[in-house]
Amino acid sequence: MLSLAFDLLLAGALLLVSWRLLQASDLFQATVLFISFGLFLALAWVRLQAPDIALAEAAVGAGLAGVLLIGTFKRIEPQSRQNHDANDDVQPPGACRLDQAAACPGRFHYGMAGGCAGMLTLLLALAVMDLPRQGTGLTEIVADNLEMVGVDHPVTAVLLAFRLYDTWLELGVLLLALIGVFGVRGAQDLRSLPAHPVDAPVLRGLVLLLGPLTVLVTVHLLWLGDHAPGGAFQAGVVLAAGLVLFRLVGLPSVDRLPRVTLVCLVVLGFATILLLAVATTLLSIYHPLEYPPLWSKTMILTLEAAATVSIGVTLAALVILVLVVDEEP
Amino acid sequence: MIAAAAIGLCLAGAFFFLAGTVGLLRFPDAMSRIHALTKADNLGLGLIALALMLTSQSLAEMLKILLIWLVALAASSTICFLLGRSMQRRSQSPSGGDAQPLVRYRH
Repeated sequence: MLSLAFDLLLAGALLLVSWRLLQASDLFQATVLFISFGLFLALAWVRLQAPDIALAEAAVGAGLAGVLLIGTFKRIEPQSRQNHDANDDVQPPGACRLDQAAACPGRFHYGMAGGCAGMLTLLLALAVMDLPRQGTGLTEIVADNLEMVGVDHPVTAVLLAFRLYDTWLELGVLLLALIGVFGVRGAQDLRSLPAHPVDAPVLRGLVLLLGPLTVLVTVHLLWLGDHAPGGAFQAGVVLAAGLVLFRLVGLPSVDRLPRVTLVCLVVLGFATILLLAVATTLLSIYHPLEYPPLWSKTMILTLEAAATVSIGVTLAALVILVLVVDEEP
Repeated sequence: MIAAAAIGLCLAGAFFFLAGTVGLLRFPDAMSRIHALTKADNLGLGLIALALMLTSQSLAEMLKILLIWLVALAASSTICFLLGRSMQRRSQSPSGGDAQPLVRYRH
């Protein structure tokens, strides 16, 4: 009874926040609402007994995406504010404020986006309708084959063994995102970005206190993936947060790395799985991306550690690239 | 007995969270809002953490919850200080005023 009330409240809050988010005319307000939407969504995943997704949603969906959105907001806000001051009444609320230089999307664009979103929703609804009513899906198959993999947590087994291919491609997507942001920023290197360390001894003290703790939590989350919710993505996000904090107060972080080292760390996760794929394909005793059963656990831990480093460095570089503002002309 | 104490602590914590939120919504300027949030919410979080520590299964779990509270305390007081300093600097600068957004990373 109490849990039903909680679920209803949660569902209502999700709908309310998403509606307010779509209605918000102020970009900063929309960003804050998006972050709270992500936190509510994480709670919903907890209620659906999917703590892995809840952790990822809170860390990536609310935390990281929120930081990236705030960075983007900060980048575009001064221009639109100046324009706003200049012609106060010309700009109606809710008008396109994203980038005054680019052409504002017209009604046609909104119509097309709406149509595509509608089609996607329809397809998703059809896919859900198509699911068998009574059934546990692949849960039992995973549980039966769990001992082959050598880890106790089914989610880790799926991500790092049964569907390693998907995880591999996810790391590839992350890599592409970083390449894209480097391209858009026109930056060669993180070292060339202007550094404006916050000159607050209090913050510096806190970051120095949190530094070792961040490393500890990263390793803990990585190790936890073996038998409980946790793993490379969660650990990587914690590592990234620590690296960004270090950069903010001007302590050595990813931006001090030479270019080659940075690239090596970024591609480490993807490259390790690529190596495994090549090795298993050439050895031909195994299927591509199949672990030798004896080495399974060691290899999963190695891959997860490599992926954690890559994810952490990539996300930190992404956030720093977006948050650091160039010198104003 | 322990459960009753935990429920009592949880309710007390929820009360302080509520008080902090009311302060955030009702207080006139940013400084007093930060004041309401950092004081009341940290106490609320502490009370709820204490309740969870009472009901936790092991010593390790208890210490983890304590650590979470301590880290939250350190982080929130630092953020409070940074926000306050940022606002103080803005009120001293000639172009400053309340019209600017709260978010400002560069000084």
